Amino acid sequence: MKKAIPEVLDQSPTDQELILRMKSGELDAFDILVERYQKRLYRVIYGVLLHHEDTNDVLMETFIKAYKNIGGFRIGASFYTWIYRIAINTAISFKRKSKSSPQPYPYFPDDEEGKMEKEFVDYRSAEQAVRQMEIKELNKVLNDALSKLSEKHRAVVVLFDLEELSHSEIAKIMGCSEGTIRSRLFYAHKQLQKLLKNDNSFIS
Amino acid sequence: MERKCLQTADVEMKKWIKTHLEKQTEKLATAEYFEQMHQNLHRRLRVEMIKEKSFSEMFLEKLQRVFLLCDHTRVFQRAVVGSFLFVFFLGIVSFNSFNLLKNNSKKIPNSLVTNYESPKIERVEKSQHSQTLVPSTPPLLSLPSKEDLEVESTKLAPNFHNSKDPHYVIRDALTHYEAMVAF
Repeated sequence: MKKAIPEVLDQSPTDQELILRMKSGELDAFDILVERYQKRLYRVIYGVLLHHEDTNDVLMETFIKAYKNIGGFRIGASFYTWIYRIAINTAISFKRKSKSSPQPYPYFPDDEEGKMEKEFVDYRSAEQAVRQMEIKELNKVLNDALSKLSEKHRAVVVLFDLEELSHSEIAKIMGCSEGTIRSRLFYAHKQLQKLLKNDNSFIS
Repeated sequence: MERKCLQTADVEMKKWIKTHLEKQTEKLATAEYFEQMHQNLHRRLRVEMIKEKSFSEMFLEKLQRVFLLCDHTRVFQRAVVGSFLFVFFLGIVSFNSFNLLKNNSKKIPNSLVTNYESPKIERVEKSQHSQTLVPSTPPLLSLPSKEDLEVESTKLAPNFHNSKDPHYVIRDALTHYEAMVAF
């Protein structure tokens, strides 16, 4: 399994340096850390919650928790594992508390399509139009299938398939054994396959 | 064959899930969104800091930061200059106040000074007077004689002249009785 988050290691200053600076009361160091992790954390939290507004709330909460508890962070430990753990736990507890249903797949109007001239649209091949429709349909099906999984299973899928983390790293983040992660991942993939197989649009 | 098909389907599914989630997050989490999120986060952090720390703690932290992060020689120089200025200021203030007091004491008229002193004198006189009023012997020992008291009692009845004579009193009382009966 290839190691994820390679860009963090290449960057200067390192996470450890930034944390040390943060502990001495430098808020700018925290800003750099936020900028470094905001996109990836958003992706993970969104993968668990499937709701933009909720993701925003949880992302904020995650950063605030990280700022508050940075004093307890052990220098030498992996920062991204630590902050991912905070994010996943906050997202799961948020989902438990709120009864908000997952946001239906948002409709994004294709800007390019809107700007195109009518004549050009006419010249487009019928095959391409069909493919566009298929992609939209597929996205909807995928979103529905993901929303049918539990938060814990979704979190494992997102961390493994999207963030490409190893089983051991996911185990550290989720706070459980590697075996549990493997079984959760297997179950989630099986469930997704089953859900997507039922739909004729997937895996033809 | 079936297993191979399933494996390819699994890989395909993972790829689709990844691209699907990536596309969604790219569309929702734009640069403007993150900018807004940063501002909100800063606001929230400020609130949290205020909530958790008291004013004295914040003040001490600020002082600590000033003294720890600043150049020590510069801080020392500033402290010396500051203390010198403070002493200089105190000297000026004390000198001025001393001068003011001196001038004021010269300007006060003699009459005011005597008026100011008069209560003292009065107080002394009063104390002397009170000393004279105090009897030398206790009051129980100087009781008036019986005769004196009788004289005093006659004095209390001014209408009865020669009230020492008991006959006069009886006569007078009878005449009063007769007058009442006649009436």
